[in-house]
Amino acid sequence: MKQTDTVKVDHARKARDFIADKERTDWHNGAITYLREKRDLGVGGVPEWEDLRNLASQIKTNVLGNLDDYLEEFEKNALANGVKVHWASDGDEHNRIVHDILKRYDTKMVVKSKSMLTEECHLNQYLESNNIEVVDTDLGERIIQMRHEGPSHIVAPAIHIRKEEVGQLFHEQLNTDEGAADPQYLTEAARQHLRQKFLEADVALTGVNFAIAETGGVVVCTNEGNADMGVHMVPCQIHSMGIEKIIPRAGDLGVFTRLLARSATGQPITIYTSHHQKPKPGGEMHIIIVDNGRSAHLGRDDFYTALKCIRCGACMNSCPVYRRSGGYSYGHTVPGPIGSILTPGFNLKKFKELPFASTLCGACSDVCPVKINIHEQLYKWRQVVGEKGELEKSKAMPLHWAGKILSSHKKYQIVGRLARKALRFLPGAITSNRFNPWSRQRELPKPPRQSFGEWYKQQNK
Amino acid sequence: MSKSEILDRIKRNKPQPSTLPVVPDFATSPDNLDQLFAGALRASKGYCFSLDSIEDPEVWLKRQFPGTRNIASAVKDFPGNVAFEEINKPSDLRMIDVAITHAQLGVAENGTVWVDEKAAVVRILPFITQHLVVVLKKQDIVENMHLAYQQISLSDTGFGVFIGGPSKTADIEQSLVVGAQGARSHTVLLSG
Ligand code: SF4
Repeated sequence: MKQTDTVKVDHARKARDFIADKERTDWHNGAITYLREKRDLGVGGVPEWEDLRNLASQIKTNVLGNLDDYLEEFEKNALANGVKVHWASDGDEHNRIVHDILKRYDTKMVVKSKSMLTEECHLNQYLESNNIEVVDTDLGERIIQMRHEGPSHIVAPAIHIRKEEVGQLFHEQLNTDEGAADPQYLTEAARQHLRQKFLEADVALTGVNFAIAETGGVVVCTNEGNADMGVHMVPCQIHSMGIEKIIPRAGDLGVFTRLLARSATGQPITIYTSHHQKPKPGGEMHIIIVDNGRSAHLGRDDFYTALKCIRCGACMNSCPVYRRSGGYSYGHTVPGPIGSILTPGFNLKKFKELPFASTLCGACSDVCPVKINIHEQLYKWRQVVGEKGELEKSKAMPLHWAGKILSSHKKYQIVGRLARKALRFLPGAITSNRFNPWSRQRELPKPPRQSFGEWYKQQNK
Repeated sequence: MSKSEILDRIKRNKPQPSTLPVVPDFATSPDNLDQLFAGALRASKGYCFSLDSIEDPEVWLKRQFPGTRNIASAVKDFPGNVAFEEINKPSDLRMIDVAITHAQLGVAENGTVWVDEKAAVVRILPFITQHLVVVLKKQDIVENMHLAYQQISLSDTGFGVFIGGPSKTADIEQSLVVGAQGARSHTVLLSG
C-alpha cells in the first residue's frame, strides 16, 4: 500500500453523514443485526464450537510463526501440480503480473469473483486503464461495480443498498422493467446478464479463502457458484492470495469450513466449497502470492495476530459502531473492527482515526472464529497513535489534563467536587459544544451530589 | 526476486513458532446419518429422495423437470441425450438442462456432497447445468467435515467441490433467492 496518501479518513464525519438519514440508518442496523442473529442460530447447533475456535486460532498462530516454510512448501507442491506460482511484493506488482498473463491470452474481458485482495490492489482500475474490461460476477459485487462504488461489507458488499435502488440500476443498465424491485426478478436478470459474460470472458480470476501447504491447492468458497462458472469456462484461471491465507494440512479445512460460513451468515457451509489443485486438461492455472504490507505487519508484536483473520465479517456484524456508520465510513476495503486494526499498520496517518471508531465493548473479540483480541488491539493502536503524536487536538487536550488529574489523588478529589457542582448549573451550550463530539445525540446524566468516596466516609462516621 | 524479498521479510519478522494442534474428529457416530443428511440438505433448499422410490428414471426425470430437452448423465441408470465425447469446450454445455452425476461422499452435518472432476466428467458441469441431480450411496455419508477430509484425497484430484444445495444469493436486501449463477435446483438421490 502506498504510504504517500496521507489524507486522513475522517470516520466521525463520514458516520455523521451516514446517520443523517435516520430511517436508512435504522434499516442498515437491522440488516446487519439480522446477519449476526443468523450466525448465533447457526453456531447453536455445534456443541464443539469453542473447541473449533481454539483449534482455528492455534492453527493460524502456528502458520504465522512458520509462514516462510509453509509458503515454500505450498509453492513446491503447487509447482508439482503443474500450477504457475508468482510472488508480488505489493499491489502494483500483483497488477502487473495479472496484466502480463492477460496479454498472453489477448484478453479483452476478465471475469472476477469476490476478492478483497484485488480490491485492495485496485486491480479493476489498473486493468480498465489498460483497456481490459473487468466484470465482477458475485451479484453484490456486480451491483456496486455498476454503481462505481467499492464494497461496504466484506461478505455482503451491497448490504447498504435498497432493492428499489437495485431495481432502478438494473432498469438503466440491464433493461429490466421500470419500478421492478422484486429480488427474485432482479437476480434472474443478473443471472442472464452474467451467464453471457462468462461465455465471453477470456480469463477468470478469483480470490482465495484457504491455500493448503501440504497439497499446493487453493480453496474458494461461494454461494452463487460464480467463481466456478468463471474458472471452469476459460482456459486460463488466476487465483490471487495474501501470504496469510496458508493453512498447513488438508485436514485443517475441517475446522475452517465449519467455522467460516456459520460465522458469516449462519449457514453450516457455503453452497460451493471448491478445491482447485491442478489446471484443467489443456488449461493453465496461476497462483499469485501477495505481500502488500503483510510481512511488515507480522513484525508488530501487539498486532500481528490480526493476520489470522479469515474474513467472515462477524466482527463488523457485531459492532454497534459499524452497524450505525456503514462500511464506507472506514475508507478502506476491509471496514469494521478488523479493518480498524489492520489499516493503521498500512498507513498510520491516513487511518489513525479508525481505532477510535469503537466503544471497546469487545463484541468483536467474543464473536471472532479465530479468536483475535480485536478490541485490545483497538485500544493499543490508540496508544500508538498518541505516542506518534498523531492524536487530534480534541482528543489530545482533554487526555493531557485527564492524565495529570488522574495521576494525583488530591487533584482528582478537587476536580471531582468542582465538576459535580459545575455540571448542575452549567448550561448545555457549554457542555454540549462543538469541541465535544460526545455530546451529539447525547445528554449528560445528572451528576451525583456526592462522590462515592464522600458517601463512604459519611457511612462510616 | 520478490519471492526472496518477501521470504526474507517474513523470516525477520515472524513471531515465535508454536505447535500445530492435533485436530480431533468430533465424531459422535449417530445411527441416522441419512436422515441428518437429508434434513441439512433440505434446510439449504436442496431436495433429497430415495433412489429406490424411483421406478422409471426416464419418467421421473420428465415429471421432475418438465420441458427438459438436454440431459447430460454420468450415471448409467439415467439415460442422457448428450454425448460427453462430443463436448470440445466447456461452453458446449451451456444448453444443458439437467446433469446427473455420482458423488463419492456426503456429509451429514451440512448436507453437502463431494463431487470431484472424475465424477463431474467436465469440471463446469455441476455449475453450468440448470438442474443438478447427484446419486449418493447411503453408506458413503460421514458425520462431519473432519471425517470427510479424512476420506477424500485432495492430492489425487485436479478439482473437487463440496456442493450443499442450489446456487443462491441474498445480496439484494438479504432476501434469499435460489438460482443465482449456478444450478437452479439441487437434488440428491440416496441409494442402498
Ligand atoms: S477479525 Fe475475526 S470476526 Fe472479523 S472478519 Fe476476521 S475472522 Fe471474522
